Amino acid sequence: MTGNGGAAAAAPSGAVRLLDVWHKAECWLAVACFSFIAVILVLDVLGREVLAPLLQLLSIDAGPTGIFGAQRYSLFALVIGSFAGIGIATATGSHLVPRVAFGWVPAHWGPAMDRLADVLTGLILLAVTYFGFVFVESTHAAQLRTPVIDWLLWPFQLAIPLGFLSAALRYLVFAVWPSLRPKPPEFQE
Amino acid sequence: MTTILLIALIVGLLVLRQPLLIVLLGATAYVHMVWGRGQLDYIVEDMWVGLDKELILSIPLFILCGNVMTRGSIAQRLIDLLASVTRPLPGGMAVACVLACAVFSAISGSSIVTMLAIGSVMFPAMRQAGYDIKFSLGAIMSGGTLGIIIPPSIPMIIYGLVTETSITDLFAAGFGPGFLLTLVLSLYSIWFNRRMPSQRFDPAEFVKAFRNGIWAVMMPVIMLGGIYSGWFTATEAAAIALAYAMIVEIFIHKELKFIDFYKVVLEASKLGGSLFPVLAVALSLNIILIEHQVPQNMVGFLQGYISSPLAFMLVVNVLLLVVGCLMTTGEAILVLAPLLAPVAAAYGYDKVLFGVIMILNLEIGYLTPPVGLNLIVAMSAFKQPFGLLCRAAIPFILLMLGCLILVVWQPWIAMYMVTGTF
Repeated sequence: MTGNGGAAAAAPSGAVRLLDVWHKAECWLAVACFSFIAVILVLDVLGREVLAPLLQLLSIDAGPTGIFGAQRYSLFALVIGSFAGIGIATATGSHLVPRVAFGWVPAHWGPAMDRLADVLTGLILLAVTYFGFVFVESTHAAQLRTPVIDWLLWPFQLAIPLGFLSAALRYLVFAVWPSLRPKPPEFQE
Repeated sequence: MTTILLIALIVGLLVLRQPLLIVLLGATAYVHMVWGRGQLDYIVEDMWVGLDKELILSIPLFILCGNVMTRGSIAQRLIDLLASVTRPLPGGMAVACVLACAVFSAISGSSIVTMLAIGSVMFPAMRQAGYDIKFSLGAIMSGGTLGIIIPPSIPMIIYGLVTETSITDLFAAGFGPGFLLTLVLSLYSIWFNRRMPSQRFDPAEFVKAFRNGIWAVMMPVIMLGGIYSGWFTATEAAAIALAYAMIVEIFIHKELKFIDFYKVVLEASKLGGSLFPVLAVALSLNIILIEHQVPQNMVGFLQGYISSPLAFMLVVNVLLLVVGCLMTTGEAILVLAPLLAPVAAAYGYDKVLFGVIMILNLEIGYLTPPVGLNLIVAMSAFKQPFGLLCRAAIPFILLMLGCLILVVWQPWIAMYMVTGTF
């Protein structure tokens, strides 16, 4: 996870361990969400597009063959998986970072600029986290529900500020211990 | 003055090495503060609204499907099949390379994945067979760019989401230009290698390669056939394709185990984590821009200076080619498509056609320095100097520019599959 394994030792081992556990938890959450999306949508479409015509051919009336609300469940899983993914992308240095202005400052400022960038990103994300909680609170207060499956929205919307919070804290950790900062990928599409 | 401050904010964030997510969040917050009611929680609300679209589900499915199908030996199987067919042509191996890139593009949806998968097999093989190094590199790098124009294409889905354009229509419109590019690159490969000896067609080799490769070839046939025939929506096609990919990889090719599936999904999650939040913020920015009639104001402003649609198209193409040199495809589409697509529509260009033209421009950007991704990736993948790669790309860039001009001049090349008329 870290870009510089040797130098990473400079950070307290507790912090390194905490980041690793945190990263693994986010990975499993995201994998569970994306697997759920894949499974439920595949079963829904196969049910509607393959099983239904097959049963019709055999003159069997089995009622609806898709999964009720599959796309709504999948959207919730997508939001949770994606915002868990912000943390994963932060931990692995996978965020899209425009490099167009990287050369506009002297090259030897690089490490200091990276550290400043991490502080700024962390603080901005903390601010976004705050406004995320404000938004979720308003949905909670209004007891808004989702169409089709009639579930309360706010528990799922909570994934947004929590995802931003995870990324914010991680950026601030990178600012404190730059050795934990992941090496950016060689290229991003 | 407020616009100048907005530009200064964006430049400042870029100099401070901020991720695109933060740059877009900064711009959106500024718009809310200066032109809106200053309620920044609306940003998050608009992000939720932006993500609450069922069409968006096709993205993780296509990413997963591409990740499942493009691991293992699919590339080798496709190359074997296509090489067995193109052997009698002069430069047959080069044509096989271009065709393999085209078919692989219809599976992966990514330019870099296509170039690496096909190039890692074809580059050593073409060098060993005596093909010119510059030509080989150029063919592989330009063949890789087909990944974003031949559907399914992730940039097309992103364009469709941020401009509210039908993704099925975009996929249909990508077919013609993708076919044109494949044809032009193949013909150039034959012409350039016309002195290379051709070989006899070997039916036994073809049958063996067909047996191994047919499952991979059938994937785009099922997926695109389903979309074009109107049988599936884009999301349904992605789900069917994923089911097909899993069955082929687990039961036929026997190259996917549980631990591989975890890695495949994790890769998709990583990509999703960097893409979806940015997409959500871009959609949030889009909502506030539309609320404040920014695209309409841009239309009015531009029409004051440019009256001819052709002149507009020329200016936009030059802009996109320059942007393609400086930004990645995803960044350019997220930032520019919501602004430019309504303007193009006001000049009489269909948003579907404009999307294809935009992606064709950005496709060329994969081959132009300094941010030409295929050049950068090829440099490390094939261990070749950057200068050589840039020179190798030049004839292919010219051919691709020719195709772009042809599509702008004769829009039916893209639109025939959408409208059914010339």
